[in-house]
Formats: sequence, C-alpha cells, structure tokens
Amino acid sequence: MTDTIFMVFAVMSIASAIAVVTWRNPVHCVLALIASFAGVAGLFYLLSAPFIAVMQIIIYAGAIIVLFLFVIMLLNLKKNEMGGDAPVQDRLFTVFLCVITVIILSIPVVATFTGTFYDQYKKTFPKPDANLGITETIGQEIFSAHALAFELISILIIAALIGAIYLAKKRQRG
Amino acid sequence: MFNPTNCLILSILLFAIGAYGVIAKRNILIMLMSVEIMLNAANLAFLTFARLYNDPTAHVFVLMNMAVAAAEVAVGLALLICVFRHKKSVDSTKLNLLKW
Amino acid sequence: MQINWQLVIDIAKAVIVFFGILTCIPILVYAERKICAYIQDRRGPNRVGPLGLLQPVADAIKSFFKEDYTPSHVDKVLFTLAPAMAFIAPALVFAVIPFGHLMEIKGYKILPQVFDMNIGILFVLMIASLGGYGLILGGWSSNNKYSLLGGLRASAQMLSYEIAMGLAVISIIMTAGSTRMADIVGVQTQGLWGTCIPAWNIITQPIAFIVFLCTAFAETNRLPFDLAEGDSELIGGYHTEYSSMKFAMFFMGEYLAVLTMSALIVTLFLGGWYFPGITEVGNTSLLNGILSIFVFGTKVGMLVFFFIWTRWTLPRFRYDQLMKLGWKILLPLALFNIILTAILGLR
Repeated sequence: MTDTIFMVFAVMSIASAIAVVTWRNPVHCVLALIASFAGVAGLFYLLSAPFIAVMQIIIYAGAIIVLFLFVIMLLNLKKNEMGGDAPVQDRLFTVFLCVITVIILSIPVVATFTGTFYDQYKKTFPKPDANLGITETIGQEIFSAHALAFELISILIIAALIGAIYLAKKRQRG
Repeated sequence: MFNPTNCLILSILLFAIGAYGVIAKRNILIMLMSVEIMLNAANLAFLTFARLYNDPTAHVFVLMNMAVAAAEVAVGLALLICVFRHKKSVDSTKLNLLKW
Repeated sequence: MQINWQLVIDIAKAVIVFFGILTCIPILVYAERKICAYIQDRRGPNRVGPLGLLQPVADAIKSFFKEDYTPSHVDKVLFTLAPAMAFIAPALVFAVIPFGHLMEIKGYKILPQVFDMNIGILFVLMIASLGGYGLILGGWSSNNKYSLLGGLRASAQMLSYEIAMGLAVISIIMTAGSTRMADIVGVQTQGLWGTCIPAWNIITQPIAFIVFLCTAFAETNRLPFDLAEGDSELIGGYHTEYSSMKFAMFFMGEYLAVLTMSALIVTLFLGGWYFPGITEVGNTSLLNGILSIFVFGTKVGMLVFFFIWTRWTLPRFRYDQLMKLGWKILLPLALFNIILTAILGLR
C-alpha cells in the first residue's frame, strides 16, 4: 500500500518537474511546479515528516508560487519577451550531461543501499521513532541546538526583504 | 516499506531535471523555478537520511533551506523586475553587456 | 465477512459533512439576500415560495440552464480549473474542524470531526494558502485586462494577509500549547481565573482575534476587502468572463469560504462546541453530543450574520489603504501580540 502511494507521489513529482522544464508558458510551468511540490510534500509525509510536508505547501505553494504568479502577471510577458529554449544541439548535450550526472550519483546510492553488505549494516540503524518529525521535536531542536542558525536566518530574511524592496522600487532619475 | 534507495534515486532525478532547466532554458523565470526544484530534491535527500538515522537535525536544516529559498526567490524576482525594466525581456541571452 | 464499522463511520462522517456544508450554501444565499434587503429597508425576495424561501432553488436552476459560454481568447484548461479550485479549497478545511463533543453509542466512538490531525491548524493554514489560486488563475486565464487586474490584486492581497493570519494563529498555538484542533478547543473549555467565565481565546487573546477577523475578511474576499472583485471599478474582477455554472462555482466558493472562516473563528476564538451550562466536557452521551453540535452551529450562524452585516455596512477600501492596513497595522500588531503572549505566558 505504502509502496503504491510512494509511486504515485514519485511519478507525480517527476512528471510535473519535467513539465516545468519543457513547457513554454510560465503560468503553466508554475502550475506544474505546484503539482511537483505537492508530490514532494506527500513524500515528506511518507518519510514521517508531517510538519515539514505542511510547511512545504505553506511556504512554497502559499508564498513562493504566488510571488511567481504575481511577477508573471505584473510583467504580462509577450511571446517575444519570454526567452524560450537553448538551441536543439545544446539541449541534447544538456540532457546527455544530466543523464551522466544521474548515473554517477546513482552508483554509490545503489551500491550502499542494496546487497548483503547493506542487509548486515541495516541492523545497526535505530528503530523509527514516533516523535520524529512532529512539531514539538522540531521546535525543541530549533530553539536549543540551532538557535544561532535560527537568528541568522531571520537576519538573512530581513536583508532579503530590504534588498527586494530596494531593487524593485522605481527610482527617480537625477 | 521504507526504502532509502528509491527516495535517493528520486531525489537525484529531480535534481537532474532541475539542473537541465537551469542550463537549457533561456527564460529567467523558469530558471528560477528549476532552482526551486533542485532545492526540493536536496530537501528530499535530507529527510530520507533523517528517517534512516532518526535524527531531527535534518528537519531543522530543511526548514532553514526553505527560508533561504523564500529569500532567494524574493531577491531573484526583484532582480528580474529590474532586468525587465531595462531590457524589456526576461531572456537570459539578452544580458550580455559584459561580453564581446 | 467482517465489516469494519469504525471505517464505515469515518466514511459516513466525511460524506455527511460534505453534503451538510453544501446544504448550508443555499441557506447562506437566502440569508444574505434577506439581511441585505432589511439593512437597505427593502423586503428582499418574496415571490418564489413562502417568504421567498425557494429563491436559492430558482437561482440554482437559472445558473444550470444558462449557456456555459467559454470565450475564444481564454486559456481553456485553466479557465475550467480555476472555479473548481476556488470551490474545493474552502471545503477541505472542514475536514479538521471539530464541531462537537465525542459521542459513544453502543461502544462505537463517534467523534464529530472528519480527521483528527495532529497538525490540524497547520493543515488549515495550508489550505488557506491554496485558496487564492482559484481567483488568481481565473483572473489570468480570462485574458482580459479587468480580470488580470483582479487576479493581480487577489494575489498581492492573499500574500500580505496570510502572513498576519499565520502570526495571529501562532499566538493561539502558544496559548494552547498544541497544533491539534481538539486541544485548542480543550484549552478553551476551562474556567478563567477559577470563575465560570470560559477561557475563550476572544477574552484571553483579543488582539489576535481582531487581527484574525480582519484577515478572515480579506481571505474570503468579502467587503470591505473585495478588491479582487471590485464591481464598481473592475466590472467583476476575476470572474468578469465567467457565466453559468462556472460563475456559480465561484459564487458558491465564496459562501463556502464565509462558512469555513466562521467555523474556524468559532473553533479558535469562541470555544468551539463549548458553552458553559449547556455542554459538559467528558460527557459522552448522545444528548450532550447533539447539544454540542447545536451550540457550534448557533455560533457559526451568528458569525455568518456578522459577515453579512459587515458586507452591507462598510464601503470598500482603496487598494493602498488595504496594503497599508495589512503590512503597517495588522502585521506589527500580530507580532506585538506574540511577544505579549510570550511575556505574560497566557494560558
């Protein structure tokens, strides 16, 4: 059962990610991106991280994508302003490079997590903990061990806020 | 059943798709979206290992990652609006002032 | 074959709740028309059926039989998808709202809540963040400048008011110490300072209540914040190009959003199904359960009346005023409230 759900979410996220990089119209791409994020959020839920899954939807689908849509509608792009794709031979070469990347990265993963060696090693992994991924655990972790990182993130966000306003503001000449 | 191989392969595939988008697309908007896909792939790998080792640190890392992604998109789109005001286009090949 | 009755109960609950809220929409439409009429010193609908009670039926039949016209210049897929999204998102929120006390009949536990999620309130925020897409996409796909302006306004409005709403909810989570909806209601059933005054969050968290109420009006796109629609300046905003059932979907989605927001405010701030003297905590009899559902329904009804009352009383905000209110007043107020809650340790 879980395997079927995993496959559904996996296919959903991969297919819509491919749609994002192949479709031309930015609004359609944004919609495919929502589907992709939703698929990944489902996977997060299966990986016993319900809080992160919900946060994924709230932050990405709720804020980031709406920002994308806002900018797309603000610019109201015509066909010749869009950019489009690189030439065909470049794209084919990129696909080739990406396939090679996938193969190279997959080799250690497959080598580590399959076979008799892994079966031996698997016994040393801790048992899944019911408290992993619930709000309380993450909250405690953030505000004890990672409080400094949390404060730094808030500084980063303020800097981004000011930077974005400064960049997007219309400047008077002279 | 939980199987780390599937999750990690999926994460690699998503990362490769995102990388393809960044390299092959000429529309800066879609390039930014592809960067988001790559960040998502990284988050997926983090959470797989969190599940494997039962460690909530990765969850915190993913949250921080999302905050950085949000900040990055805000600045990126502001820059895009700037570019559009000057060039009347979001084509990345039009940004060639420093090239001859 | 063994029938899993608990599963049957769960599925039945989901079906009953869904059709229940669908039944509420015509009642809301009728109430809106009547209340609006009386506020404007008119009679309102009084031709179809006794007291005009069949007016919603007539409205529904009319929108069914109108021609479903799709203009040639629209983005067909998104044009069809947008009304569906506007309708489904508010309906999903009802999945996590507890609208009654636990009942026990012949050993079967019946909890009047479709899905008792550990992260219920975050789920609500998640669905609320998806709620704006119907409007935004409807506005964009219509390929019409007024619709586009409506969609643009909707996206900026959703983005700015969601933040204040989330921050108001955070202070509620701090008060309850949990993200489960049932726990948030549970905290509010205790007496305040040892008296019989219930510790409803409207009393302990008045600032959060005001912020949440303002953002609720903005999120449901109702007057005084209906700038995405703005019929006097944008014709119909995002739904200018829509007709027949597609328009009716937007229309129903708006009323559904009002209902959802009222139920949410009742759960978060007005003690949910609890009323001192009428419902008891821990009593699992059928009578107590039915009374608790009745109390919840009454509170929701009063809030819906408040929504309609506001709509026909206040004029529309100007767009810069809306943004100023969201970013310069509600956001700092919500942040201040979080700090205040942390200092006072209100529980």
